[in-house]
Formats: sequence, C-alpha cells, structure tokens
Amino acid sequence: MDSVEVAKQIHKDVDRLLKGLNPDDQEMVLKEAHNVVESLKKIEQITSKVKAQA
Amino acid sequence: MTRVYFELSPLIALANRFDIFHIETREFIYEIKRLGFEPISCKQAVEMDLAIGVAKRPLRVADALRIMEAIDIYGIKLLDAQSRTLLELVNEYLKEARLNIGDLLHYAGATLLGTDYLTSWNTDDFNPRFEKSVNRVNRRKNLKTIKVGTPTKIMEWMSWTASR
Repeated sequence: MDSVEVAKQIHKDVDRLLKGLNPDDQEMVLKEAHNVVESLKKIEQITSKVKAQA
Repeated sequence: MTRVYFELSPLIALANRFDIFHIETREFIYEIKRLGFEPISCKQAVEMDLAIGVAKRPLRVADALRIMEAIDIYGIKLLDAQSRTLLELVNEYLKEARLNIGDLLHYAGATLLGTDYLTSWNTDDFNPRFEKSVNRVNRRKNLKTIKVGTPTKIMEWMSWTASR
C-alpha cells in the first residue's frame, strides 16, 4: 500500500472509532492516543539503549 | 511566517523511501524551508493516526516510529491544538462535509494552528471541493481560511506568487 492508501485506511478507522462518541469520550480517546505514542517512544528509547550496550 | 500543514499521507511518504511520493515530498519540504515557510502538523491528529494505525494494523510499530523520526528529522513542528476546540470544529465540519473524522481532525488542526496551506497526496479527501466546505465553516466562525493542495500544486501556487 502506498502512503495515500495507508492514510485513507487509518482515517476510516479513526472515523469508525470516534463517530457516535460524545465530546468527553472523544477527548478521552485523543488523550489515550497520546499515551500510546508516548509509550512507543519509550519502548524505542529503551530498546535502542539496550542494543547500543550489547 | 507562512505555515504549511502536513496531513498524514506526506508524513508517511517522508518516512518511507520506497513510497511513490517520497522524493517529491522531500523536495517539497526542502523548498518550503528554503523559502522560509514553516512546516507543521497537529499533534493530536498525528498521535490519533499513529495510535489507530498501529492498533488496526496498516502500520507496524516500526512504521509509526519511523514516521515520528521523519517528523523530527525534516523539522516538522508538531503543534498542540486544544483538544476540545479541535473536536468541536470537527463536529461543525461534519455538518458541511461528508468526510471521515480522521481527515477532519487534520482540517481542524490546520485551521486552528493558523495554517496558510494544507498539503496532502490524498486528493479524494483533500481537494478544492472540501476546501470550500471547510472554509464556509471557517468564515462563519471567523477563523482563518486555508488553501488545500498536493505538494506539487502548492509549489505551483508559490512559484506563481513569487513571480508576481
């Protein structure tokens, strides 16, 4: 899949997830998405540190 | 300073050197920086895309990390739009435009962050027709209007403006 197809697919999935939620719940989902991305960054930091030490 | 907003597709293209739009997107970002324009995107919209992209599988974790790395390497500023305001604007847009919320988060982010141009390779969802719908809401709410186009189109507009 090229960048456009991937982006379209993700935006459809975001739509399915957020549609029908009330604003408070939508806001909470955005907050959780932030936490997911922060966790991914932390995982990356830890794994690259471990790999550098090996 | 003129702000150029990057939607998800050019961010993915920048992160993947095998993507069909990779080289064009890279050249575009070098050019806008040379002109002194500021490349930006909306933190909430991008984080939502990455989290859902990984959860629902079009992206692997490595892809998401590569996109974040590309945002950093190419100096695209991820700016914070107030989440509640962002979502309220998305819901206003939904009344005018039949688009996915994922797309509208970027339209709303671009508007609230004071963008001049919103760029995307996805011309089905980011095009003059939807630009018009979104700007109708923006005018009604006294918000800045935006111009939407592919990097190629935006380069044409910039060259045309520069030659005048």
